[in-house]
Amino acid sequence: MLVDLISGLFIGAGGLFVLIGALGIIRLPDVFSRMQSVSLIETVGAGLLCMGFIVKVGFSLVGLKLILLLTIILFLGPVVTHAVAQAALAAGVKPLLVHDRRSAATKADAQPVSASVDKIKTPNVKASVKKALPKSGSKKADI
Amino acid sequence: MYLFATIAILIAMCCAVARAVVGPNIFDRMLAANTIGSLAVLLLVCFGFLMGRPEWLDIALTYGLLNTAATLTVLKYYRHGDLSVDADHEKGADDAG
Repeated sequence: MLVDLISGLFIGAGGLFVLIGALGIIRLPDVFSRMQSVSLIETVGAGLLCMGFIVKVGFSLVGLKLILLLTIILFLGPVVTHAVAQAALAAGVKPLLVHDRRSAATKADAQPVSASVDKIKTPNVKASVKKALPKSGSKKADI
Repeated sequence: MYLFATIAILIAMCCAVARAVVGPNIFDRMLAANTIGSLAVLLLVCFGFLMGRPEWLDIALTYGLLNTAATLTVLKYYRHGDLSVDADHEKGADDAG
């Protein structure tokens, strides 16, 4: 009876997390934010569901298969999510963020540094291009 | 409680199918397809326990491995345009050694 209660709690919580992840898939605005709710399904939802079934069946062959399945899901789900994120970034999909929160605390310090770096770098690049490539630049312009 | 988990997984699969249909770019569709595969694995487990036949776990294991391999293959094909490319030695382009 206690085993049924504990496994029912785990399975109910897993179903609830799967529903929350489905809501996130529908409602969230971006690929990268949807990826987060998909990873919610694949880690917490699948973990709680498999844990409930493991508690239900106990130590047997079915329990061993469930542990193996949970291991496979927990290892390969983040791999697939990472591959999707990497391919999306490589294809040029921009994350839908207004500003980067990592540099919000040091933004007052970071802004003049980057501005001074731009001021220093851009004349040097232009001068070096003018010195090095006057002929090839005119050829490229003609072509 | 098995029935609740099964219905929750079916609702989540419907949401993932809707996202795969209306997804703006290919990565939304690939993510939704991978989500459908993972939810199908969970659905096999839950439905097997609901019907009293937990032998379907073998099919769930096979389906989980195949789903991951299929998603990674399509993503590699979309990124490189070629399945035989060596992603670790992209700049070298010399596979003789």
